Formats: sequence, C-alpha cells, structure tokens
Amino acid sequence: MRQRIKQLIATTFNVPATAVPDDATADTFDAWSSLGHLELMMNLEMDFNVRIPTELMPGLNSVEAIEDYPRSQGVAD
Amino acid sequence: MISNTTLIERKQRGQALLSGVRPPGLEPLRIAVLCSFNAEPIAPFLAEALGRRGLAAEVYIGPFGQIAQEILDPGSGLYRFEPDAVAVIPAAEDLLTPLFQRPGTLEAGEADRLVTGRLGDLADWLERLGQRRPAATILAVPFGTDRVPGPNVLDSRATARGQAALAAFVDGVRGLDAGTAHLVTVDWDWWARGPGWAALRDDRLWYLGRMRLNGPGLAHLAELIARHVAAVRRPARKVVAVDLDNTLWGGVVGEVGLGGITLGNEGLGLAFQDFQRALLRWHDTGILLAACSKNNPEDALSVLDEHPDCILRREHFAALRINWNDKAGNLRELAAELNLGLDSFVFLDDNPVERGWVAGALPEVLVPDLPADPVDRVAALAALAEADYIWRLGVTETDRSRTRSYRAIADRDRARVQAVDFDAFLGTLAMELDVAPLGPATLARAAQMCERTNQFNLTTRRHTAACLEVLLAGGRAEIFTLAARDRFEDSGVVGLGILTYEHDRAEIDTLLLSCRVLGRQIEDAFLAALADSARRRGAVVLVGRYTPTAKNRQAAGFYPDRGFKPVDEGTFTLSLDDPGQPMPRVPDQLTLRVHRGSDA
Repeated sequence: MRQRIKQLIATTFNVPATAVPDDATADTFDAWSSLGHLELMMNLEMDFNVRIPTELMPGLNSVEAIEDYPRSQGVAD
Repeated sequence: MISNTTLIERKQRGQALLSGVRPPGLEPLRIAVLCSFNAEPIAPFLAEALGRRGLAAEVYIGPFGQIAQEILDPGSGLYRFEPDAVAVIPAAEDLLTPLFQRPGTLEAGEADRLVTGRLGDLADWLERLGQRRPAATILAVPFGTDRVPGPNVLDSRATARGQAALAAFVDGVRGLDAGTAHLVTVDWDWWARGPGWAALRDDRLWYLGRMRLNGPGLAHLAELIARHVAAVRRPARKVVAVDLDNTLWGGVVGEVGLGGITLGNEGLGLAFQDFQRALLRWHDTGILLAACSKNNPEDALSVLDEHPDCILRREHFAALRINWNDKAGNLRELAAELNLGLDSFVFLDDNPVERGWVAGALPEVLVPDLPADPVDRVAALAALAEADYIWRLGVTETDRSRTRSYRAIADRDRARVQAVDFDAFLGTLAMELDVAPLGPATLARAAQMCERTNQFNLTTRRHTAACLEVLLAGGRAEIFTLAARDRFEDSGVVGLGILTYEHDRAEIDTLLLSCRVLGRQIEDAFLAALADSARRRGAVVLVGRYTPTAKNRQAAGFYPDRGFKPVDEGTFTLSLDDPGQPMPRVPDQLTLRVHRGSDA
C-alpha cells in the first residue's frame, strides 16, 4: 500500500519514486501545490477505484494520511 | 474516451517535453492559453499533443479569469511570452454570470443584450490581440455547457431557462473568425457532445480548483487545439492516390470482368461504393484524386467509364497511372505531372505489400493502413480526415473546381465519360442463356439451388433431389435448368424453373435464379422460356405464385410487373391464348437457346 501511494505521488509530481520519503507531505515537493494536490486526489481515485469526499481531500496531504484512507474504505493492501 | 493509462503517459511525455527533453527535428512553437477558468493542468497535454505533430511547444497559461487583462495590458505576461499562437477559452458559464445566477429575473431583451455585449467585448479583445501580435494564430474556443441556467423551466426558448442565450453566445464565439485570416475556431463545444459534458468535468475540481475540465477533458481539448495549430502551420496533403482493384471495388476486374467485380447497392459492394463516395467528398473539398493501379488500362477504365454502380468516374481523377510498372515510380510520375511534391501525397492501397513497398521507397508519402475488411474502410477514411492529414480549414471556390482545372490543363482531348445506358451496358456483356430439361447431370445442382437460393426465389420450395425425380416421374411436371454465360465468364447453371400441369393450367411451382446473375433481365428471359413451354403443352393459363419470405421481397412485384393479374394473395395468372395479351419476351440484349429433350 505504502509503495503504491509513493509511486502515485511520484507519477503525479514527476519525481522518481525513490525520491519520495515515507514521511512526505505537501511541503516536501514544489509540485505538491493546491492544484497538484487536486491532481493527486484524482489519481488516487483512479488507482484505488474509490471516491474521496470533497471535505476529506484537503486532509490527505501526507503519505501517512493518504495511506489510511483507502484502508478505511476496505481496499486491500 | 481516453484511458487513464494513456492520460498518465501523455502527461509524463508532455512534462518531459516542457522541461526541455526534446527529440531533434521538432519545430519550436510558443503557445499561450487564456482561459476564463483554471486550465493550468492542460500544459503538459498541450505539449504532448503538439509534440506528436512535430512541434516543440513552450506553453504559457495566463492567470485564469483574466482574458481581458492579459490582452489589454501591453506589459502582460502574454506579450512578454511572445506567443506564436494564443488559445482563448471564454466559457459561457464564466462570461454570462448574471444569466447563470438569476435567469428568471432577466427581462426578455436583457439576456440578448448580455450576450451581444459579451460577444462584442470578445470581438474587441481579439482584434486588439491581432493588432499587437499580427503574426500569431488566434484560436477561439467556443465553450458552453449542458447545464442550462434555469433547468426547471421546460420551454427551451423561455428566457428564464437561459438556453437560447447560452446557445447564442456559444454560436457567437463560433462565428468570431468570420472574415479573419488569423483567427481559427476550435469547436470544443461541438466536440464535447460526443463524450458528453458530464464525462469531461468533475464538480469537485470546480469547487476546489476552479477547473471546468477533468483530466480527460483537458487531454481532449489539448488534442483539439493541437490539431488546429498544426493544421494552420503545416501544409495538408493535397493528393490522394488510390489503387483500384480491391480498393475502389472488390475483385480484380482483369480477372472477373466488369460484371464480376463487387460494386453495387448491397453488402460488400455497397461498402466499396461508400468508400468511393467518401473519396468523392474529399474531391469536392479540393483534394486531387489520382489512380495508381497495376492493370490493363482498358479493364480498369471500363469500370470507371461504364460500370453503372461506380461512383468515381474518370473525370474525378486529376491524373492516372494504370500500367504494369511499379507503384513508387508511378507516384513519382504523378507528382511530376501534377507539379506537386511527394510530401503532398497520400497513398491508399488494400495490399499491405504494395503499401510497404511505397512507404519504404517514398518516405514522404503518407501511407496509412487500410483495414482488411472493406466494411471498416469508410470509418478509417473518416478518421484519416479527422486527423491531421486531409483537413481543410475551409473550402473555397477554387477548391471546388480544383480537379477540373487540373484536368483542363493536363489533357484537353481526354474522352468525356459517357452517360451510362443500362441496356447498352447489358449488351456489352454478350449474355447467352441455355434452358434445358433437368437431367441426371444437373439434378444435384438443381436440388442445391432449391436448398440455397433465397433472394430471387418466388416460392422457396425446398425440393430435394428425390423430390424432383418424383415430380418428373409423375409426368405432369416439366423442370428446366438455366445456364448463363457472358463475355467474361461461364456461370454454369444458375436458374431453375418447374412447371406443373393440371388440365389446361400450368403453374410455376418454382422459379429461382442465383443472386450472382440478378439485375440483368435474365429472369425475364427464363419466364419467356417457361411461358412458351407451357403454351406448347396446351395450357391456356399460366399461374405464378409468390410466397413472401424475409429474403425474397425483391421478387414481390415480379409477376404483376410482367402482365400477370392478381387473383388473390400471392397468386397471379397470365392468359396464354389471349391474342390481346402479350407473352413474356426475351430481352433484346440476351441470346436464349431452349433445348427440348425427348422426355419432359
């Protein structure tokens, strides 16, 4: 799960997957702007086949926070 | 609709291009996007779409909602960017805010004035932009929505619904390019109807980011913009050189003859006809057609000149190379004759070997794949036209008469296409028919035809071989086969007729003809032979029956059209001894021989 999320972050922000630390947050990358965040949310939805409620989106701004969400929706690791 | 994988791939490729990682040989292009909503994420998609068209793009996205400011302020980022192309996207929902917020409070004229006012503003802005960047291509993008301001008002014309004003605005944006050379309309509004607006947006993106398009929406809009930009900057293909056999018609005319090719109003023949029609439509927009075929010229030209179902005629071709030489050489000669470069050419040929040869020998010629199944080719042509190869921004009078001009220049003595006279055409086939009593040698074939023939089969009685023998043995039936031959081929036994006798009445139990020989009046000749035989045997009335099935509807009028009188549903009679009643006769174009055996 964590690897998958880090890969998603890497693809969204155009950085190598190895450059995404476990404790990455929105501050870690320039590209992770508000616009970038929206894009990440869209990619998350596509990849995990979930729908993220609008109000939760701003809160999913770190690897950790993102990790918890699909799990909470019952998505298998 | 674009897949997620493709979306991500395109975005990554676009990002690479934008960061300077470029293959050599791309032409540089600076493109700016001024949009009333946030379209920033379109940049990599735009770069990728342009990259595929040979353009290395640098992209500037103006701050959203500031179209006027970016254009009117001479020191804006737009002008510092020095764009070669500027896409302007004034979304209706953004420019007509009063309409969308409270359509019900607008008086009848107010909505119109709002629309006219905004369109006037847009026209002014675009004119200003054209003055400041005269060499730039300006792309106006009509952008509406399926969500009318007042959806609970059902009357589509009511002011409070807002639909008319919305449509008028979008149409107005569409029309901004009238009379201006540097302004091009990129009709996103029309295109979006295909996938549907809902598929191209995500409301969360609007609320959280002021974006009216989702990922796929941005990718598709980028594609549409790129297509137009490339179209303006690079010359389109001017000539479509086509093979003939198995491309314009099915079969090889030199082998099967004029009557043997697949070209007509049904089935595969219709697919070939439609292929020709598509090419003819291109011709009408100023594209030149050239024929490039390995054939005896007389054979190929006979189709173009004489085949009644051929849509393309000799006059539609600006030049022809019909010979036994290699096609690459022929294409070079065509280019020389038309005084156009090979990079203006598209080459269409059903044969992958020929395509491969030409593509290898002449890399400048565009050689698209043609689907193996002719049925798929019309769609393939449409896709080709939609793509960047055969586009036309508009069509002028010169375009419409382009082929005529080329032909006039090329050869003034070229023979004109004769108007097609069907009877004369039939005459050229030199058809010979042999009607003979059924015999042991033809029994199996006769039964097979009863079993298989569906279209021209008046009663569709599935007689087996045994059944036919029993009929004959009973002494009250005559069974005739019909064999046909023409100038090009011997078709063998293609028809069966069965007469049964009761007192002085002869009934046509079975009359059928193979579909291969329909449409040549052979059925008339056969009927004449049967009627004659019935009369010789002493019948005074000839009865014809028609039993309708799913496949034989074309035969429904056969008897009535030939003077038979209807007596009840599906039964028709013809008097054989009435001097005022003409007998069915053999058409002039056919030669009929009737063989009378010793047994009936």
